[in-house]
Amino acid sequence: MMELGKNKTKKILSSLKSNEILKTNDYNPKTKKHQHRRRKRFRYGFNSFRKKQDQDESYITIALAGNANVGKSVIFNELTGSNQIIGNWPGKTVEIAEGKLYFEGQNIKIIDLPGIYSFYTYSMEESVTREYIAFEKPDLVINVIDASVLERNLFFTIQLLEMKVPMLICINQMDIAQQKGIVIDTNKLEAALKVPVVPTVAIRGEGLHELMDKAVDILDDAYNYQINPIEYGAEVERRIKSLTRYIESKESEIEYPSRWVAIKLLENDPEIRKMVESESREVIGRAYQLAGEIEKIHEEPSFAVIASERYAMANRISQGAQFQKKLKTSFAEKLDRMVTHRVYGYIISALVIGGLLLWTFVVGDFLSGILSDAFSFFQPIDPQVSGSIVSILWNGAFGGLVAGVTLIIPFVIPFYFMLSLIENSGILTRVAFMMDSAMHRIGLHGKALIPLILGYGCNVPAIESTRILENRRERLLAAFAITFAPCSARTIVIMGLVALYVNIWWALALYAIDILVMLIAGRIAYKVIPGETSGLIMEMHSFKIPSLAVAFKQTWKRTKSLIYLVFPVYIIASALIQALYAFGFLTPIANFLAPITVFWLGLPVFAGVVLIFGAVRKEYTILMLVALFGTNLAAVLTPVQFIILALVSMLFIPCLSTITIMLRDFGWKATGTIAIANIITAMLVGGIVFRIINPFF
Amino acid sequence: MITLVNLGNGRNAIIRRIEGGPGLKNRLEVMNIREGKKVKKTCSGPLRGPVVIEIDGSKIAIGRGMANKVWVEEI
Ligand SMILES: Nc1nc2c(ncn2[C@@H]2O[C@H](COP(=O)(O)OP(=O)(O)O)[C@@H](O)[C@H]2O)c(=O)[nH]1
Ligand SMILES: [Mg+2]
Repeated sequence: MMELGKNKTKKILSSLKSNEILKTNDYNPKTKKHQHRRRKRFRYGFNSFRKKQDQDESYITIALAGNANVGKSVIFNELTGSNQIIGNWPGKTVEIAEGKLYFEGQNIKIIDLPGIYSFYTYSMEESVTREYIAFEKPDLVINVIDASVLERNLFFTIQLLEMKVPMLICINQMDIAQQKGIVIDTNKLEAALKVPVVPTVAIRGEGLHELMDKAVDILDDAYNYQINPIEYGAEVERRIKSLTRYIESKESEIEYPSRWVAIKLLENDPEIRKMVESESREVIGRAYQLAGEIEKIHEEPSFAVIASERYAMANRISQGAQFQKKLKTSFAEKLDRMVTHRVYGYIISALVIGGLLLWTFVVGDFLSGILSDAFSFFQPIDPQVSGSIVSILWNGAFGGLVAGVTLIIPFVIPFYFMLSLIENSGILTRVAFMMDSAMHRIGLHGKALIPLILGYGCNVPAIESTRILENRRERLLAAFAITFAPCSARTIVIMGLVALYVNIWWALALYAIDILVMLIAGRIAYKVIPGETSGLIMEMHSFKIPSLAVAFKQTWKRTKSLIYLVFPVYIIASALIQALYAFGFLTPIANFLAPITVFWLGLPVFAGVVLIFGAVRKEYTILMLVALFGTNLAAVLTPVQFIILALVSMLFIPCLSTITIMLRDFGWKATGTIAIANIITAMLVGGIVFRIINPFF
Repeated sequence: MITLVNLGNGRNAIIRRIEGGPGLKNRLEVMNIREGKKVKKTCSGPLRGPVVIEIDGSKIAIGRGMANKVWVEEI
C-alpha cells in the first residue's frame, strides 16, 4: 500500500470513530433519535437546495454499485428524491438511473447501476455495470453491501477493488443483520479492505448523511486516495503480476485497468478476450500460457482456481469481521414453515392471489362508479359516430382520456398498491416457490409468476417486469402468457357484457376459460420455441412488515410508466378510430370479416367493428356497443353472442398499449408473431366454445 | 454422498461437488452455493418443487433440477 494511501485511511478511520452512530449492532434509543434529526435535515434541507442548483453544470458523479437487492435503489431514492422501483426480488433495475443532489456545496450526480452478482458476464446487467465504470469513469463508486449476507457480497467488492476506481463501502441493511443475530465490526472490515466503510439502514434513512459526508471527504482528497486490490495466493498472484506487466508494456488502448484485464484474461472472460484480441494477439497468447500453468499446478481450470481464491478471500474477510449470535426460532420462522407447507402453502397462496383480485374488484367497482358519475357530469362519454369532424375527434379523444382515468385510478392503482405490500412483506416469493413446478409446465420457473400476477392489473407494466427473467426466451414466453392475462380492462368487458346481461356464473366461467387458455397457449409456445428452461434460484428474504411509504412510491412508479405510454395511445387512437368509423371506413372491413364473425363465431356483422374498437382499448367493446344501440343491448345480442363476443374480445389481440410496449422490448418480429398467435387462439377458442355452448341456450 | 434433493429436511451438510457447466456453477456460486459451504436444508416444495436451503442465515430456493446436481455430505 502506498504511504499516502495509508495516511488517508488512518485519517478516515479516526474520523469515523468520532461520528460512528451505527457502530456495529448496538442500537441505543438515544443515538437513534439523534439519527432521526439528522435525517430530516438531510431529506428536506438538501432536497430543496437541489432544485435551485440544478442549472449548474459542474457535477461530481457518484455511482451506486452492488449485488441485486442490497438496497441501492432505496439509497438512490433517499438521496435524489426520485422513484426507482424497489422490491423484495432481484432484477428490477436494468437501466441506469440518474438523479441529482446538492450536498455541502457540491453538485452531485448519483447513478443507480443495475444489481449484479459478479463481474462474470452472463447477463446484460453485469456488462452494463462494468462498462459504465470503465468508460464513464465515475468520480466515486459507492459499493452497497447487504450486511446480512456479507460474504457473498464481498465477491463483488473484491472485483470492484481490482477495477481501481475510488470507492467507498456502504454496508446496508444493518437492521436485518441484527435480526439474524449477525454482529459486524466495521473497523475490522475497513482494515481488511483498506476502504472506508459506512453502516446504514437505508429504508429509515439512517447513516446516509454520514455516507455522503465520507464520499465528499474522499473526493476532496482524491489525489491521496489509493485503492489497492487484494492479493491472490502466491502462484496465481505471480502470474497475474507477470501478465499485468506484459499488458502494460504493450501500451494498448484498453480502458480497463491492466491488472483487472490480466485477471479477466486468466479467467477466460469472453468479452474481455475479444476486446484484447483486436488490440494484441501476443497478450492473449501469453495469458493462455499462464492460465495453462495455473491449471497444471491446481489440476483445475484456471477460472475455477481464481474464483475459489476469491471465495476464500471473501470468506476470510467476512469471518474476521463478523460474529454470529445464537438465535431462538422466531415467529417469522414459524410463519415460513406454514406458508411453504405442502397443504397450507397452497391454501395460503390461493388466498393471497384470490384476496388480491377480490380487493381489486371490490375497490375498483366502487371507485369507478364514483368516477364515471363525475365524468358524465361534464359530458356524455359514449362514442359519437355522427356530426362534425372536430366534434367526433374531440369526443374520441375525451373518451380515451376518460377510459384511461376510469381504468387506472380505480383498478390499476389499488391493485398495484396491494401488490407492493404483498411483495415487500416477502410472501410473494413464497407463493412463487409453491408455484414453481406448475410454472415449469409452461417453460417458466416460479419467479415468472410475479410478472404474470402483474398482468392482472395491466399488461403493460407486467411485460416491462419480465426483465427479471434470465434470458430472452423466458421473457418472450412470459410476455406471451401475459397477453392472455385477464387485465382490469378485460375484467370490465366480462363484467359489463356477461355478468350484466347473462349471469355472474358465465362471467366467472369466462375467467376460468381465460386462465386455461393462458396455460395451454403458454404450454404450446414452450414446446414450439426451442431452448432450455433455466432453473429457479431465488432468495427468500425473511418476512417483514411492509412499509406504506415504499408501497406508495412503488405504485406510483409502476403507474407512471403506464400513464406516459397509455394515455397518448388511448387518446390519439380512440379519436382516430372513431373518425374512421364515422366516415364509413370500418363498415367495409366489418363486412369483409363477416365470414369469420358471422359464420364461424355466430356473431352479428357489426361485431367486426366492435372488435376493431376493442383493439385500442378492451373496454371500448362495451362503449362502442352502447354508442350504436343504446343501453338495451339485450335487444341486439343473444346470451350466447354476449359470451362469445366477450370471450373473443378478451383473447383476440393485446390492446394497442401492450403492443407498443412489446415492440419496444422485443421488436417487430416477436410482437407480430405474438399478435397473430393471439388472433388464431381467439378464433379457435371462440368458434369451439360457440359450438359447445350453443345447444344449451 | 447424496444430492440436496435427497437430504432430509432440517439436516446440515457440506457441499462437496457441483455437477454441470461453468454457467450453472456460476449461477450457484454467486449465491454462495459452492463447494465447501455448510448448508441446512429447510424444506422442499411439493409436486417435485424446488428445494430451500439455508446458507449463512439466508434462505435460497433452488429448482429441483439444479438441486439434484449439488452433491453434499451430511454432518
Ligand atoms: N430492513 C431493511 N430493508 C432494506 C434496507 N434497504 C433496502 N431494503 C429492502 O431491500 C429490498 C431491495 O431494495 P432495492 O433498493 O430495490 O435493492 P437494489 O436491487 O439494490 O436496488 C427492498 O425490499 C427494500 O425495502 C434496509 O436498510 N433495511
Ligand atoms: Mg435497484
